[in-house]
Amino acid sequence: MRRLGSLADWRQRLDWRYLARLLASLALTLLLVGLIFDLAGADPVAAFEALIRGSLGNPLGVEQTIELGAILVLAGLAVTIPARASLWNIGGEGQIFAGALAAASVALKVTGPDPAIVMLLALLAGLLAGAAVAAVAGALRALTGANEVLTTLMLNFVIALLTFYAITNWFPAAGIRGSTPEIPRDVELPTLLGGDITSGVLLALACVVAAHVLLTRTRLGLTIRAVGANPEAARHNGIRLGSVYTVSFAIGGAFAGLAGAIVVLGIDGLLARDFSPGYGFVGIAVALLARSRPLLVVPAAALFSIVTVGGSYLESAVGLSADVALVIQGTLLLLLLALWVIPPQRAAGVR
Amino acid sequence: MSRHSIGNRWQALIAAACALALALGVAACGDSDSSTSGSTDGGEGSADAVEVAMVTSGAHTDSSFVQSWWEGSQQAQSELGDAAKIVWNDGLNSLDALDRAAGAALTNGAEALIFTTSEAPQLVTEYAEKFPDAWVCGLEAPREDYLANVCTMLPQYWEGAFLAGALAGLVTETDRVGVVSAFDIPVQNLQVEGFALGARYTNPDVKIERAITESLIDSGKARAATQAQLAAGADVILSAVDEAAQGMYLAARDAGGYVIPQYTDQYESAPDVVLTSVVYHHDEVGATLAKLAVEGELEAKSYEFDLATYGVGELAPFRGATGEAVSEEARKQVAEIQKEIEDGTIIFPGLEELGERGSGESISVASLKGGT
Amino acid sequence: MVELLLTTTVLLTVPLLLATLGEIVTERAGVLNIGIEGVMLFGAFAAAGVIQLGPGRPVAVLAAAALGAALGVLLAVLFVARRVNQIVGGVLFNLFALGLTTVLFDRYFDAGATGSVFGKLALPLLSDLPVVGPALFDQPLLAYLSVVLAGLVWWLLTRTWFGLHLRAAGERPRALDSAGVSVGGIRTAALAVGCALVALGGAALVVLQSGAFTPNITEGRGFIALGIVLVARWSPWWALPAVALFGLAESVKFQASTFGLESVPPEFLAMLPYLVAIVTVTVGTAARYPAALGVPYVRE
Repeated sequence: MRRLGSLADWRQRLDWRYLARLLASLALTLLLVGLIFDLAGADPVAAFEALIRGSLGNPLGVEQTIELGAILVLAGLAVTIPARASLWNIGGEGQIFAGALAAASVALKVTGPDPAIVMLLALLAGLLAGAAVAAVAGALRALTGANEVLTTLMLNFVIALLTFYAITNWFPAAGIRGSTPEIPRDVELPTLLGGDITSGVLLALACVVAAHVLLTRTRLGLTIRAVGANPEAARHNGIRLGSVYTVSFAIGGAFAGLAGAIVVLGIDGLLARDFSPGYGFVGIAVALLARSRPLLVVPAAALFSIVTVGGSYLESAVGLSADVALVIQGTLLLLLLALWVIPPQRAAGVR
Repeated sequence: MSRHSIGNRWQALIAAACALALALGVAACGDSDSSTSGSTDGGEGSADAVEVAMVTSGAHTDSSFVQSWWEGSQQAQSELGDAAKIVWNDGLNSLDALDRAAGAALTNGAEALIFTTSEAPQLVTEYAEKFPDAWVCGLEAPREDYLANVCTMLPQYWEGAFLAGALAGLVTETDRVGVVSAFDIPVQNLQVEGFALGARYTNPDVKIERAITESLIDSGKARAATQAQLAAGADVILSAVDEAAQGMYLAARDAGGYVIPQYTDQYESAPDVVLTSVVYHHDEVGATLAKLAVEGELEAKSYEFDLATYGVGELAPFRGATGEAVSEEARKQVAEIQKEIEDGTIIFPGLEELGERGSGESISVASLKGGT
Repeated sequence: MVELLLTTTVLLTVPLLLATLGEIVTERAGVLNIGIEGVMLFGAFAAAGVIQLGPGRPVAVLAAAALGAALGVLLAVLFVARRVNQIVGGVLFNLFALGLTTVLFDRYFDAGATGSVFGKLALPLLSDLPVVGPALFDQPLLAYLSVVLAGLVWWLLTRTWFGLHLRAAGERPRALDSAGVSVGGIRTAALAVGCALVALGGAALVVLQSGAFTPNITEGRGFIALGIVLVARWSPWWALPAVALFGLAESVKFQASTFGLESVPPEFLAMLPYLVAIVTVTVGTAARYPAALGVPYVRE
C-alpha cells in the first residue's frame, strides 16, 4: 500500500465539495427511499430500523449478512478484474451458474476419493467452469470483435437453461422439487469454528487478497491495468490485447464460478434451479461502488449485503416486499454516479 | 495508482462508513423497543397472539396456485381473530430470498413457519434445527423420518389431474388431448403424467400432447404452446402454468377447444372455454394447517390432503355452454372414477415414478386397479 | 403448419419489436441503453396500473408511452448530462426498476382483479389471403401499429432533420457540435423517443398477452432486444425480419412434435433464440456500430 502522505496532503484531498456531494447522495437516497417506503404503505423510520435490526441486530441476520457478503465479494471481483482492462463482465450470472453446476456435479458424482478431496475438486471445478464460460466471451471478443456485453448477456440465459436441464436429467430426483439431492455433509464446506457460517467466507477474503496482489504486484495485473488505461499505447508496446481480454475475463469468471461453488457447497448444500437472485448483476454494482479496487469490494459488498438481508425482514416487520432492497441499492448507486461521487471514467465506449 | 486515486479510495471508505453511521443514526431515532408489527394482510392480534408465517414464491395475484394459499391465510386470520397473527410473505422468487424470509419470520417471533411452495425442503430441516421451539412445515413428499418440530403436507395433485385427464379422455372428439406445463420438474410432472394416465384410463386410443413454456407468468408462450397443440388436433388442454393460463384461454377462443385450469375455479375468467377447473382447495389446506399451528396441535408427520379427505382435486361444477359438452354419461363415469380414487380402488404409482416425464404413457393402466 | 408458425411468431414478437425499435433510435444517437429491461418493466406496470384504475386500454397504452418518455429524460440526465457509464447505469436502473415495480405492485395491485386484453382486428380482404391472411392480417391493432411505427422510425431517422442530427450524434458528434447543434439535446430527445417506444413494448406485453402485471413480467425480453438491434444492423426495416427470426425460434419450440423434435429437451429448444443472437453477434460484426456508441460526449 502506498504511503499516505502528510496531514497537509490529506486536507487537500478531502475536497469539501466532494464530501458535500457524497453527503448529498446519502441524504437524497434516504429521502427518496423514505418516500418510496411511505408510498408503499410503511413507516419510513420503522422500516429503516427494521433493516438494520434484521441484518445486524440478531445472530441469524449477522450470519446471513456475512454469507451473502462473501458471495457478493466474489461477484464483485468477477467484474472488477475485467473492469481494470476496461471490459464489462455482464455475464457474472451465467458464470456463477456454471460454477454451481460444475461443483454440484463433482460433489454428487465423484465418490471414490476422500470427501475432503472431493470437496476441493468441486471447488476447483466451479472455478474452472466459470473461467471457461467467461473465456468464451473474452475469446469471441478477441477473435471476432463480438461485443462482450451482448455475448455475455445471452450466455447468461443459455447457461441457466443448461443448468435447469442438468438438474432434471443429470441427477437423481430429490422428492418433488426442482433441485439436485443434497450434497453429503462431509463433502460440504466446513463451517467456521463449529458455528453456522461457512468457511467459504474465508475463501472469499482470500480471493480479495489474491486479486489485489494480482493487480498490484504481478506482471499480468500491471498488463491488464495498462490495457485498461490506454489500449492503443499498450498495443504499440507489443501487448496482445486479445490475450489480455481473454485472460482477464477468465480470471473474472473464475471468481464468479467460485461463488457458485460456494453457494452449492457451503450455503445451500445442493443446487436448486432458482438459487440466484441475480448475484451476477448485483456484483456489477458492488464493483462499481468499490471503484474496481479489490480491497474496497469488501466494504461495498458488506453494504449491499446489509441492505439485502435487512430488506428480507421488512415483510414481517412492516409489510414491505423484500425487493425494496433493490430499490435502495439502485437509488444509492445511481445517485452516487449522478452526483459524481463515483466519477465518470475515461469512457472506453462499446469497442 | 495516482495520488488522486489514493484519496478517492479513502474517501470511498469514508463514504461507506458515513452511510452506515447515517443509517444507524436514523435507526436510533426510531422506536427500537416497539414491536413494529404491520403486516398488510394479517390483523394486529392481541399481545399473546400466536404468530404463524406463510412464505412462498410467486405472487398472490396469480388467480391460481399462490392466490389460493393466500386466501387460506386470510381465511385462517378471520376465523382465528385475535388469537392469531398470520403473516403472509410471497414474491420470494429465489432460494436465497426464501431462506432469508424464513429466517426473518422465525426471528421475528413466528411460532410456526409454513412453506407453501415445494422448492425448499432443506430449508425446512435447517430452520427446524435452528429454532427448535417453533414448528416448520413444508410442501413436500412424505419424509422417512421427522424431527420433532417438522411437519410436511402434500395435496395429492395427481389425483385431481387424473380426474381431469379422465374427463378429457371422455370429452375429446379427436382422441387428442394436451397439457401445457412450465418446468420439467417432478412436482409439475406429477400433474402432467397424472393427466395423461387419466386420459388413457377412459380413452385407450388417446394421444397426449405436452409442452413446456419455462415460465409460470408468460401467457404469450402459454398461448403459443396451446395454439400448437390445438393445431395438432388436441381439443382439451390442461393448464399447469398458473397465471399464464390467461394466454391459453385466448388461444382456445381463437381455435376452438377447451382448457382445464388448475388450483382455483376459473370458470368466470373464460366461461366460453373453461370446461372445468381442478380445485385443490389450497385455502382449506392452508387454513387447516395454520389453525392447527395456532392451537398447538401440529404433529411431526406427513399431512396428506386428497380427494377423500378435503375434496382436494375435485372438479369444479360443469356449467354453461362448456358444461353442455359433457354428456350425462361422461359425468357419471367421472363421478365413478372419483369414487374409485377415494375408496382406494384406483392405486397410483409412487411419486418418483409418476414424477418422470413421459411416465403417463409408460405406466400400464391396468396396474392402477390394485391387484389386477 | 406455416400458418400457425406465423401466427405464433407475430404474437410473440410485438413487444419485442417495439422495444427493438426504441433501442435502435437510442443507439443510433450514440447511447447504449442497457436499462431497456427496466423501462419495459415500467411500461408494463404503468399499463396494468391504468387498466386497474379504469380508463381503459388505449389510455393505458398512452400512459405507458408517456412514462417511457419521462424515463428517457431521466436516463438522459444520467447518461448525457452526468456522463454516467452507460452499461453500469443501465444495469443499476434495471435493478431499481425491478425493485420499485415489485414493491408498488405488492402494495397496490389486488388479487382477483382481472386484466383485459385487446381483441383482434381483421383487415378486410387481406385477412382472407391463404396462409398469411389470418396469421398476419388478423391481429390486434397494436400489432399493425408496431409495423407502422417501424416505418415511422425509418422515416424519422432518414427523412427528417432530427433524424439527420440523431445519426450524426451517434456517428460524428464532434461534427454535429461544430455545426452548432447540441449533441446532448439530440441524445436526450432520442432517449425520450426511444424509451417511449420501449415502454410501449412493455405495455404491449400486458395488453396483448396477459392483461395483468406480475413481478418481472419482462423476463429478459429487454436483453433480447439488445441482441436483435445488432442482428438488425440498427435498421428499423431489418428489425422486422430480425424479430421474426427470434419469434420463429421460439415458436418452433412449441411445434416440436410437428418438426420431429420431440426428443429434444425443452430447455435446449428454449436456448435457440439466445444462441441465434450470439451467433449473429459473432458472425456479423462486420456491421458498423454507430461510431460513438456508448461514449459520453464531452465538449472541448
